[in-house]
Amino acid sequence: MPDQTRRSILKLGSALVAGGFLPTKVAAKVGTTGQSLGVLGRLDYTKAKAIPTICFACTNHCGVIGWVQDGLVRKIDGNPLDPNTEGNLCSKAQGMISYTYYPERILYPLRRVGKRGDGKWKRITWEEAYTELADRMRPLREKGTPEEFVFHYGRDKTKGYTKHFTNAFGTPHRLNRRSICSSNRRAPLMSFYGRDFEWETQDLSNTKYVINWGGNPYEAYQGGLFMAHRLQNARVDHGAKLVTFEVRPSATASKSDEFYTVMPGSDGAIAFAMIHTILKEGLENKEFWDRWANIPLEEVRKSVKDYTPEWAENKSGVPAADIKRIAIEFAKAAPACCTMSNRGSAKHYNGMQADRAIRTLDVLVGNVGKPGGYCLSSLRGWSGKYGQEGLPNLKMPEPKASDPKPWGIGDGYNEAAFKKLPKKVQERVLNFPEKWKKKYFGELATPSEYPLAWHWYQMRVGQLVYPYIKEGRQKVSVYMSFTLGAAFGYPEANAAREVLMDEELIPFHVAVDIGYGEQTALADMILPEATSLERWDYHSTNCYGLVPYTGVRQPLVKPQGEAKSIQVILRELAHKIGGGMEKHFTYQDDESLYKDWYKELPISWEEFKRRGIWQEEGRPKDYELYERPLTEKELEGTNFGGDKKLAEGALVEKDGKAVGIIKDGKPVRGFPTPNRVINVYDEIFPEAAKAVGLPLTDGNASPLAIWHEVPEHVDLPEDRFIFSTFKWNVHTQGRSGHWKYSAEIIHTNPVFMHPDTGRALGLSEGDEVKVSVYRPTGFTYRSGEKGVMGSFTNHVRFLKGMHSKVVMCSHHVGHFEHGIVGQSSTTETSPAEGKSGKLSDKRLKDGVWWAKKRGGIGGGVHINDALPINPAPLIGGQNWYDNVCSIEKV
Amino acid sequence: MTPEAAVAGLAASLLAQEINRETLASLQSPKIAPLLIEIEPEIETLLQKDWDEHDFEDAAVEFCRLFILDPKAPARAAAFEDSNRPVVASRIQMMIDAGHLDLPERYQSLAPDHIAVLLLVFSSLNEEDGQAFKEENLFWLPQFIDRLLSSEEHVLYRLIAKSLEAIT
Repeated sequence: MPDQTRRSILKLGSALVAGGFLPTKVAAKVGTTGQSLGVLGRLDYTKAKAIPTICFACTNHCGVIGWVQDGLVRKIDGNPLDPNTEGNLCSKAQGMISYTYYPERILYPLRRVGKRGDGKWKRITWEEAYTELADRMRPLREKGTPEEFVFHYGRDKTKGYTKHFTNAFGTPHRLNRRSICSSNRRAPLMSFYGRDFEWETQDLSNTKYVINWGGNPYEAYQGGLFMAHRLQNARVDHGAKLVTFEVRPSATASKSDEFYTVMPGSDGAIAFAMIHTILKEGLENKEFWDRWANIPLEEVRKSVKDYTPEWAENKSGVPAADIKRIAIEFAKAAPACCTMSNRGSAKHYNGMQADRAIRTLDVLVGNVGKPGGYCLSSLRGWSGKYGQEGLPNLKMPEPKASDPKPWGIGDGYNEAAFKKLPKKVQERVLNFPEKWKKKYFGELATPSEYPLAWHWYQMRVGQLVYPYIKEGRQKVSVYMSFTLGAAFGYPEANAAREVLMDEELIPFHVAVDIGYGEQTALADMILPEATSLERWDYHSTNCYGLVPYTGVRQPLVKPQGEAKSIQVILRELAHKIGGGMEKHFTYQDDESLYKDWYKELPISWEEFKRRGIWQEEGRPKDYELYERPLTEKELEGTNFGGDKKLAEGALVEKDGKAVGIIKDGKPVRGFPTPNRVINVYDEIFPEAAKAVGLPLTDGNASPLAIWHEVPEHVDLPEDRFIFSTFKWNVHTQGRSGHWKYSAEIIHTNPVFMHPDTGRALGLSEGDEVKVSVYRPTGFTYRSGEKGVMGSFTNHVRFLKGMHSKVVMCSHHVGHFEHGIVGQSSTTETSPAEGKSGKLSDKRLKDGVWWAKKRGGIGGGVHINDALPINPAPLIGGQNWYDNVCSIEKV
Repeated sequence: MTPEAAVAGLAASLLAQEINRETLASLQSPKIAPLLIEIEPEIETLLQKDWDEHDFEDAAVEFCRLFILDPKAPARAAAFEDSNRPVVASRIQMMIDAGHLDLPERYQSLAPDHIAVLLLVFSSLNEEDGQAFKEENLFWLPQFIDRLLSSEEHVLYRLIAKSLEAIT
């Protein structure tokens, strides 16, 4: 530095002192530079504080313990009190530390400057953020168009708090991504067993036999961690058998006693052939079927007569003899046997009927609710719904806001919003049966072409939200995305980005998130959210030990920077908007809110926080909940009791609603379906088909499960393949690509194919290929459009055990935002102002050893732009695994 | 207070958050402005004009670009330290936790190894302690200044970088 400049600087310093321009003095003790305090070392268990909480690194939400030392969360362990995990833990949990202390985490409210998507931002205060947001939202309420505010979330585990906000605001638009995930497999379950059972809870600890259709609980599955260790124990302890049908050698398939490679979309064929076999062999549990199924067994026998094992072999590739043997073994193990299926079987055009066939197997052998069988837990018993009685009634304590009015014509309907819908939509809705008219809330929340996406509850069709906005089906004024990655992870993610970029279609986009991902990059305002290690949440889920429990997510450390929990953000925003909204948000701090939420627990708040989990000692398991006699209190006001008699099988009704059923002359609870039995046969499917114009010849329209092919798989040409996706055990959708711990383990997504497939295509391992994907041909969005829909280039890896007609990539990586780890880039280290005391950013930068610039393999390829939006008819679940593609060497 | 400490304090306030009217008024004062212009002549125009909202916004955007979102001049020790040294953030956090440091509110949401926090602490210590503190915690200041000088697109931040050179 030139002397002159130095002199000028010192003169400046002197002038500052002389002029009284003194900086704020810090109360720093003389002689305490920190040296005497030593240096933080390894985790010291004698100093660290253990605090239980609930993991948020995937959808399982395991009870965990965070070790906090020197103000930082240093390690995550399993909580042995969690009856689901029993203290087990997976690697994803440590990801919470990654994303909490990620140097590129968003820590301040930010406002876009310049054009949307240009990446130019300025920091604003929370007050400025709330003021602008409230000024944009308030007029929507005042002029009676609250529906123009759209809240769209990726993963919301506030258990109703965000809905409380949207209800208080008056909009029905609290959108999710259920259709991206699991609506095709939830619908059959709710059809069979009722709204309260959208997810089963197999009694794996006591089972003897499991048939798994494409599920992968050893790696990635809702409940996977809870299931995997129970299943392993059952196999080791008493020789339980696991049979898996899969298109690839997943972790679960590889660990199974038997693994069969199957043609994608053929799971149903195998299940039908097993039904056929069990009936032919006389191994069905006729007593259970006659007692609880809603259709005579003979009807099923007739419907499956042609579904022989030989026929199924032709469809699936699984030897007929094995299908037959497995069916017999399964039936003979009953009732200690169960089926398992998830996206593998359900995310196909024929997936809903495939899952109904699989569900039928359980009813057929009578394992439902039995020890070792296919059980249904008291998941929702906590709020007084179906489940064990006597559970504490845990409810959000804020003053309830009423639901928005349904959209339609007449008293009690939102006519103004309804009349803005396209005429064709209005006509369709007005022709709906009454039961649906009361559930219709516009095209984004309740798309009229997919009535079974909202018949049971609002599962919605998330992948159509952006096309529908583009079509003008719903005007949007303020769009709030909350931890949503649609711009990366939805099918045709480029279509989502196109709409998000359009300031006429979405005039204002506020993103609430932790990281700067592809979605937040297209926002106008970003609000920094507290992570799961910094916030409260109510937690309940189904228990694989079949004894209901609850837990609490509690903050281990204060939010970094100026981040706030979504609850705080919405509460403060509600107060800013005013106009009565504030009356629904009375709590000033989160701990008070959650303390009252759990106030009916029979232990003190402090004890609950200390344990993190509550489960009542001595409570029985959730076996055969449907056989429980109705209590005298439950019979009060019903059509049964005293002089009132009912015939066998008649419904016990109260206020016009069935609450039980007569079995053996006595009133029992039955299942929470409208007719209190299991609906193997359901007219809802043809009814929905008629309402939306789906031909009744389409397999999805059948009231009884039937086989039908995935249309685009029929006569698949030699040079076409089926492109499928899968999850790794260390990743959680597109959310974890920037978590250092996870990305170090898995950071690429090669195109996996069988070596024979590769050789036939003239490929060697490592070759680059172009994968071109085509649109589907069934009754769905943009069906039958010719030509390549999208393509991507990636390298090939060979994997024995793959089906020869299948190629697969995982979908977690290949980010083009989310910082240096997400992008696998080392060109710019970019630590924002995070308290990443233990994550040295230079080391982080140096640590991206897989970056291409460091000679590594790189960070994978984004594939979702090339995958077409493909909602299943009626339900709308994305048919991720039907895509037909061609492959050429680059 | 030494002149170096005073300059450090000024730089701390300019690096803690975006420039506002109050800070600008200090810089534009007749006793200070000419000295700033001596350090960086190109700041003269900015110091002599009445800033409108666009001027403040330009500075705020540059602040965000340099220091916050995908920052071009990361303002934290963690971006520069290597594994041979103790971790600055941990040490400062320990000082805060032990009650040895009581930061003003506007600094509390910053990372403990943030340049603004470290400069503020430095400016508050006596000369001897300040020197020790600098050696332990601000060893990366020259690299930061280089980064800032090579990345900035706004003369205000060039001025800050140059001013900090007196402390190295």
